[in-house]
Amino acid sequence: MKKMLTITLAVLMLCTMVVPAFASTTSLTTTVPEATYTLNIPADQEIPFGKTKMDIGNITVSDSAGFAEGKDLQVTISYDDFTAEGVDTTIPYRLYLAADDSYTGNYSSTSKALTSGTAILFEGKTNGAVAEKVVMDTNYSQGGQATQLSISVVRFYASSEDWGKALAGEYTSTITFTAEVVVSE
Amino acid sequence: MKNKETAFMKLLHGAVVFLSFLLIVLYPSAVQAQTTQLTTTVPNQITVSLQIIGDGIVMLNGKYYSTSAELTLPQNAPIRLTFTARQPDTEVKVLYKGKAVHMDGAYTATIEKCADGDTLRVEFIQQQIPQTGDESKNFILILLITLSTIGMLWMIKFEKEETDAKIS
Repeated sequence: MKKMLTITLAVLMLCTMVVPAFASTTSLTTTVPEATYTLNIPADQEIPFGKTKMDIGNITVSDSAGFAEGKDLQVTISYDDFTAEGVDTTIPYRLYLAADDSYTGNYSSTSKALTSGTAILFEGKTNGAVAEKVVMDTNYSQGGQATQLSISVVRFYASSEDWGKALAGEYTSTITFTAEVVVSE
Repeated sequence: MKNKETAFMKLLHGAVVFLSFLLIVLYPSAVQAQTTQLTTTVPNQITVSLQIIGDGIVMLNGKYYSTSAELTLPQNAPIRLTFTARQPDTEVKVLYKGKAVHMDGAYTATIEKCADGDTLRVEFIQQQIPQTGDESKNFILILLITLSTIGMLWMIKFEKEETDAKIS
């Protein structure tokens, strides 16, 4: 009985003991909104046989919002040669980004090779959007700085020789555009 | 009893792993991919013999030829030819299967369809420059001047001899 009473009193004492320190917490929460955008890419299309150069459209971004400062949209372009089922030959081709050359009048200075796996950048702006078009440096400078031009078209190039080597068949090639939001470098 | 508990734990672990996998797979990724499909049709091809006579260059479907060659061309596709003569005053004549081809211009022609094994002949013919009457006139003039000069010299010499004879 005595033992029981001792334990009860000890428990009561512990419960009523005054704690000198108090801790309380405030939780702060925030939500980073996901950036939204529409990536516009060239439409599916037929390349006429023997065509060595053809404009296939442009890569642009529209309706972009929610890009925090220091964030860009990176688009990686990958593609393979034309292949056909049951045909051994392939038709290699190259893509180029080309700016409007009316400014410089010199095409070579306003185009950029777009080899498979190349990433292009739509730079973030202060208003939470990203640039609608990719901007490239040209060989021309103004006031010591390279003149920048917006990309206006994606150009397809295939050599006559490669067309000539291809065996008859229905060929296809897929260009994949992979977009992701990245931190500006 | 213990065996039952172990089996339950194993099942639980399996369920956790499966759910984690589903979460990873179904989680909305920030990376988006879109594709563009390019297609092209390579037609059956034929072989055509190109013969070039004379001094000139033939551009056929974007390729240049200055000597005769065997060409591999797409079937049922028009062939566009452009000619560049290396010599002035050259006329170009195109013969397909031995028949003259209508020229689009002085130096271009189009053949709508070629068949396998056909021959295409391009002739660069340099024009002969006709003789004009001016040259014979010039020759006569030079001849007359030469004869007059000789005659005058002969007269001077004759007069001098006569004068010398009178003095002596």
